Amino acid sequence: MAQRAQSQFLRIFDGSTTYVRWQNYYVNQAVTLDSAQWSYMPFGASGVVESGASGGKSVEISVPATNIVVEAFTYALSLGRLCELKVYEFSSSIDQTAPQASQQLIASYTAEVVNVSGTFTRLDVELGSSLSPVGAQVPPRKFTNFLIGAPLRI
Amino acid sequence: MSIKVSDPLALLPYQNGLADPVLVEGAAEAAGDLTAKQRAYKIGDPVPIVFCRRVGSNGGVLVSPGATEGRYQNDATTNELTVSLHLVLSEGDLPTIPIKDVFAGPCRQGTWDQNYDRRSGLWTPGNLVTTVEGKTPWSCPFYCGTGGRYEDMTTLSYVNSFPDGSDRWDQQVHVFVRQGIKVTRIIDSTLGPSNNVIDLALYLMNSSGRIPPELIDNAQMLAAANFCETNGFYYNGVFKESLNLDEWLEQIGNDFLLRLVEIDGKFGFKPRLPVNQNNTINTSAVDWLFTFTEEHLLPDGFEIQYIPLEDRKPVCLQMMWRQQPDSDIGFARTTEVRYTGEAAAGPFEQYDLSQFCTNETHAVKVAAYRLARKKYITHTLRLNVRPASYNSTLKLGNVVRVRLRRETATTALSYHDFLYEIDRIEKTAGGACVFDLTQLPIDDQGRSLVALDVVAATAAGVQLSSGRSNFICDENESDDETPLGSTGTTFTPNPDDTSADLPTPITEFPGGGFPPIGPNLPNPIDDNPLDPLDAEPGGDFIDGPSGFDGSPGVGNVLSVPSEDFDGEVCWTRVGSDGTDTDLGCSDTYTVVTDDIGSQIKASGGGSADPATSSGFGPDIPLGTTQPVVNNIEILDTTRQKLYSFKIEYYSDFTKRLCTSPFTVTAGSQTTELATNYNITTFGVRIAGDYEGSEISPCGDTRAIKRNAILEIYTGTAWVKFTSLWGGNLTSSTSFNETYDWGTYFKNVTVDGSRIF
Repeated sequence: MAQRAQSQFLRIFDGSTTYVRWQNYYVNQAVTLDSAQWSYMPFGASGVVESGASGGKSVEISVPATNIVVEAFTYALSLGRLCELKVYEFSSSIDQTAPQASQQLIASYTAEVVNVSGTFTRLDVELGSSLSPVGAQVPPRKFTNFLIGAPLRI
Repeated sequence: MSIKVSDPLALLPYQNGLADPVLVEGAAEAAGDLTAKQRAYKIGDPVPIVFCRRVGSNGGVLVSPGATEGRYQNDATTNELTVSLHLVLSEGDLPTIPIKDVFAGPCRQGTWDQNYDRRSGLWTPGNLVTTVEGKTPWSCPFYCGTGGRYEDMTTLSYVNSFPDGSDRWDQQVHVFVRQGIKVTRIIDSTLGPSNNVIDLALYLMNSSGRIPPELIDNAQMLAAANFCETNGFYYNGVFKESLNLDEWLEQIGNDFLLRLVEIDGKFGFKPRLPVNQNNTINTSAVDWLFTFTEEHLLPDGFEIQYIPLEDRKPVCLQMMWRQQPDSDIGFARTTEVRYTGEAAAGPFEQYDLSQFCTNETHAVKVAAYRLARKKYITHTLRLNVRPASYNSTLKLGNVVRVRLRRETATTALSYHDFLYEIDRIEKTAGGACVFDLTQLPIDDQGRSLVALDVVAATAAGVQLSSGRSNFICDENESDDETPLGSTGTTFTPNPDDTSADLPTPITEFPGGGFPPIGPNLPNPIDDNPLDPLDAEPGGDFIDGPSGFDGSPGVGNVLSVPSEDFDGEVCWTRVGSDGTDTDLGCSDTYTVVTDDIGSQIKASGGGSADPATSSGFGPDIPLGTTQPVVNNIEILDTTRQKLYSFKIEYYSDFTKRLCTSPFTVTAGSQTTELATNYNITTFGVRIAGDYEGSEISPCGDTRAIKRNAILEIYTGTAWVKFTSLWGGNLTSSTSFNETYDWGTYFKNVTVDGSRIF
C-alpha cells in the first residue's frame, strides 16, 4: 500500500492533432510516455466512473487558471475538442523520475469538455458527453420548407 | 455551482434495468387503424426512418406515410374523383418496393412511383374539383402543398380514382417495407438494409451529431451486434417519434437484452447475459475473475440493498409483438409469459415491442429475462475496497465473487458468498475503488439461473390468421412483384428563400493570454462613476488661504464653513519634519510667522451624534493647507517677489512639469541664492554641498535636458522664462567648475528686467 502511487496524464486533442499533454506527478519536468512529451501541470482529477446508467459519468478536473490552461480549455469547449485522462498506477519505491515501463493503466477516460467554471485562479473542468439526458435529439432531421415546401393541409 | 451526489444504491436496480419502469399501458403500436383518414406531414415533424430487413419470413414493417402534396380533380360528367398524393416514406434510400406491398386503406390499389432524393410523379398539386349537377360535391383540401427539395428522402407518388360518392378517397395509404434504409452494416461492413438494432443505434449516434466517432466503442458495438444476430433479436420498425437519444439507447437496450455502457468514456452495448465465444447465451458454469474478501474491504465498505417486495412479486408479462405475414398487412400479437403456477390471473404487466419486434421468440426471451431477474435476484451490493490488482483488470459487466465471513459466535460461522455482476465502477482519486454489484444467481452447478431460463424460453410459434375475410377490394395482385414506377422530377428551391446564413464564425477565440478588450476600444477603467459614499470621511474644507496654489500667508484667517462641518474645529501645525504642534480649537485660526514653511491641519469632532458622550462623532479630517508662505507684501524688490517656481523640462523624451517647491542643491552658493534671490524663503529648499549641485524638480533626479523652461511666480502671474542655460544641469561634472547663477539662468528676465 505504501508503495502504490498514481499518476495522471491529460491530453486535449482533436482528430490526429494533440494540443496539450500534461501530467501531474513528475513535478516541474517533462516526461516521455508513448513517445510523446508530457509537461508538468498540477491538476487534480476526480474519480473515473464506469457505468451503464444514464448521466453521472462525468469526470471533474481542477487545474490552475494560467493563461495556457484557460486558452486550452476555452478552445476545447468552443471547438468541441476531446480530452483524454489516463490514470497509471506504479510502485513508488522503484523510480519516481520518469514513468516506469511496468506501470499499470488503471483508468482511461475520453470525453468532451462539457463545462468549465471556477475562480480567477482555478478552473474546474467537467469532462463528459454532450449527449444530454434531456431533450429530443432523434430522428435528427425535421421537415422544413426547403425539404417539403408548404405542405398539404388536410 | 456544482452539486455532486453519489447515486443511492437503492437506485441501482432501476438503473440497470432490474426493476421495471413505470408502465404505460395502451394499444400496441402496430395496431393502427387501416382506414383512418390520410394524414399530412407538418413542418417540424421528424423525418421518419424506416429501419428493417425482411429475412426469410420474418421482418419488414408496415408504414403509414404522411402526405406533403395533393391533387384533387373530378370528372365533369361522372364526378369520378382522382386523388394524387405525394408521400415521404423515409429518410434515406430504400430499395424499390413491389406493387404488391402498397395499399390504399386495406386494399392494393392505385398507381405508384418511388424515387430517392427527388419528388415522385409529375402531377402538379391543386384542388381542381368542380360541382357536377346532380352529384354530391367532393370536399377536398384547398391547401394542396407546394413541393420541396426532398433531399435524402425516399418519396412516393400515389394516384387513384374513386367513383362518385365513394367514402374511401381520403383513407390512409400504407406501404409494407421489406427492406429499409441502407446503412453500413457493422457485422459485414456492407451497405444495405439492416435489422440489427446496433446498426440503427450507430446510425442515430452518427447522424445526430451528438457523439463524436471517437467516443463510440466499435468493438463493443460489434460484439453486441453479433449477440443480437446470433440470438435472433431483430429491429423492424419505423423510427418516427422525437426522442432523447440517451434515453432511447437505454430503453432499446433492455428490449434486446443489452446494456448501454460507457467504458473509458466510450459508448457501447454489452449483452446482459453471459455469452460464449460464438455469441450464444452461456448456460455452463459461470467463471468469476476475482474474489473479494474481508482483506479488501475498507471500513464501512459494505452496503447491501435488497430488492423491494413490489419488484419481486410474481407477474404475468403480456408481451406485444407484430405478426408480419408475407402477403398481408401485419397485426399486433400478444404472448403471455409467466412462471408455471404463478400469476395465472394476474397481475399483468404489458410490454409493447410491436413497433419493432416481429419475432415471437424475441418477445418471449425478453419476458423470460425480466421474470427471471424478478424471481432470482435478491439484492445489490456496494463495495468500497482498497486499491489492488483489480484496479486495472475488472471491467463493467465482469463477474466477481464476494465471500465475507460473518462471525456471530465462536462456533457459528457463516459466509456471505455470492456471485455478482459489476454494474458500476468508481475509481476514486484516492485510489480506493467503489463497485456497485448486482447479484448473479446461479444453480448448484454454478450456472446462471437467468441465462438458463432465457435459453429455455420458447414461443408457441402459432401464426394467427389476420382475420381478413376477402380480397375483393384489391386492384393490384398480392403477388405482383413489379417495382413501383420511377417517374419523378427534381425541384430545386433556392436555399436562400428558407435559410439565413450568418457570416463565417471566427475560429480563433481569445484565451486567457489575450486581453479581451482590444487596443482600439476606449479603456473604460477611468470612466467609472464616483460613489460619494465610498469617499473617506471629511474633506478639504479650509477657507482663508490667499496665496499661490492655495497656500496660506501670514495673517490669513483660516476657517471651516459651517455648511461643511458643524462641530468643533481643532488646528494643528504640521512641520516640514512631520512634527505636529497643537494650535487649539476654535472656529478660526490666524496664520502667524512661526507657521511659515509648515502646513496647517484642521480636524473636527465629527458631526453631531447624540449617541456619543461628547455629542460628536469620531474625529474627521477637515483639510490641510499648503505650506505657509511669506506674504508677497514684504518683498520690496523685483527679485524678492520670486517666491514660487514652476519648471517645465524634458527628461527621457517626456515633457514633465514640476511646481515648487523643488530641490535646488547649490553647494556653497546657498548663501548667494538666499541673499540675492530670496528663494529659500519662498519655497525653494537649498541643501547639500557644492559637489552635489543639481536641480531635482519634485524629487525627479533624472537629467534635466536642454532647453528647459522656467516659470516664476511674480506675485501676480506666472512668467515663462526662456533661453535657459543649455547645459545638463544634473551633470555635476559639467558645471561644477563654472558654477554661476547667471550662467545657469542666462538672460532670465521678469517683466522685461533681467534678473539672472
